[in-house]
Amino acid sequence: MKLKAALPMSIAAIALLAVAGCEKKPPISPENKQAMETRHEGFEKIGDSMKTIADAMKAGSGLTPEVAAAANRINELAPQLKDWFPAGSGPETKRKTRAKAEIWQKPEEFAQKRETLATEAAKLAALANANDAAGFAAQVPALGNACKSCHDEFRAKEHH
Amino acid sequence: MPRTSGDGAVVAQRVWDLPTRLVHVALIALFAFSWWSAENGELRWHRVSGYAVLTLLLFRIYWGFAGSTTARFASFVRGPRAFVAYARRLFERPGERSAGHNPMGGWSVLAMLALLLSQTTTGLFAVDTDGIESGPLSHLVRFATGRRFAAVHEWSFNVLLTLIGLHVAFVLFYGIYKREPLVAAMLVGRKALPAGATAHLRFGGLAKAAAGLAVAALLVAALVIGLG
Repeated sequence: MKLKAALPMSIAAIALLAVAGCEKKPPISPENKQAMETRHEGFEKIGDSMKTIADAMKAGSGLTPEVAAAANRINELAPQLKDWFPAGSGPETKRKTRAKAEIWQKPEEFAQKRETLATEAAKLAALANANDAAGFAAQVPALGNACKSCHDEFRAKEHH
Repeated sequence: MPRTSGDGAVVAQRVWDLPTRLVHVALIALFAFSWWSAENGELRWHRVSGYAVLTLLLFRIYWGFAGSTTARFASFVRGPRAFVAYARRLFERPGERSAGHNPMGGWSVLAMLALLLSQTTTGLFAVDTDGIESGPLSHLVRFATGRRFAAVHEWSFNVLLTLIGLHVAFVLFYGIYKREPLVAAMLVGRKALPAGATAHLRFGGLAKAAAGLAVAALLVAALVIGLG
């Protein structure tokens, strides 16, 4: 952007934001409200489990029953992701969410990321259940990358 | 306190000691590097940078009690009356030159140090959204708690950035409006002041500073490796 245009542009942007700030929240359907809550809780459970695994890897405590349980929990939750993003539960709700509109604009790409998560989570759980500590440790980064690559693209850095 | 006006015979005199200047320059570099590494997902480097900032902060706090006169909190943290009195004469030119932090700047230093301390301590416990890239002490807290630490980390960064912006604006104001070269003073350690204006200043030894820095580094290492 040219410097000359920057000032009027930023004034316009601030004015727009001010108007947006005054805008009242539109009503939300009970289904979408429920979906947003389920989504939030579900991701928090996944994050919680992922942290249990990451902490164990960092501490070098290996594949404990607790870590194996966490891997299985992620594996149970990962396939549920497809129900967590019904149409209309995105930023248009004006509710606090970091889900980007691109999730619904690029459904195929999003589905692919979701599948990657489910696949990597299943692999990790299988290695945990086979008690393959070395294989498990090697698979953890693959699952981490599945989380990250989707967050990088479909999760906003700031709240809407 | 004798007023030291900018006119008349002024002499370049030592005001800032080497440790204070080095810490200042290093904090600028580390702040920039921490910001860059966070924005670019270089969390491994971000953590290392944070350890360095924490070490310098601990040293600076120690130096604020045991260092040179101009580095000591007791010398530059002034009461509200001094603050207001100074603020009222802010636009005077030539202004009163301080042999150290002025009564407003002292609070700015204190606020920036406090925010840096808040940044580094929240960073120790912060957890990223994936539950993977985390602070060295994050295993002591639950995921949700770690996420809250991360939220405070982000919020307090914005406050810190605002304070730094204000600080830079004031330094420019002094340089351009009041013709007082504060940047040069902080780089070389000397200020043009009336003769005798710095007679009361005492300077801490470099060996003492090095020892303080070493202890600070050991404390941070113990925190990160011992508890981490």
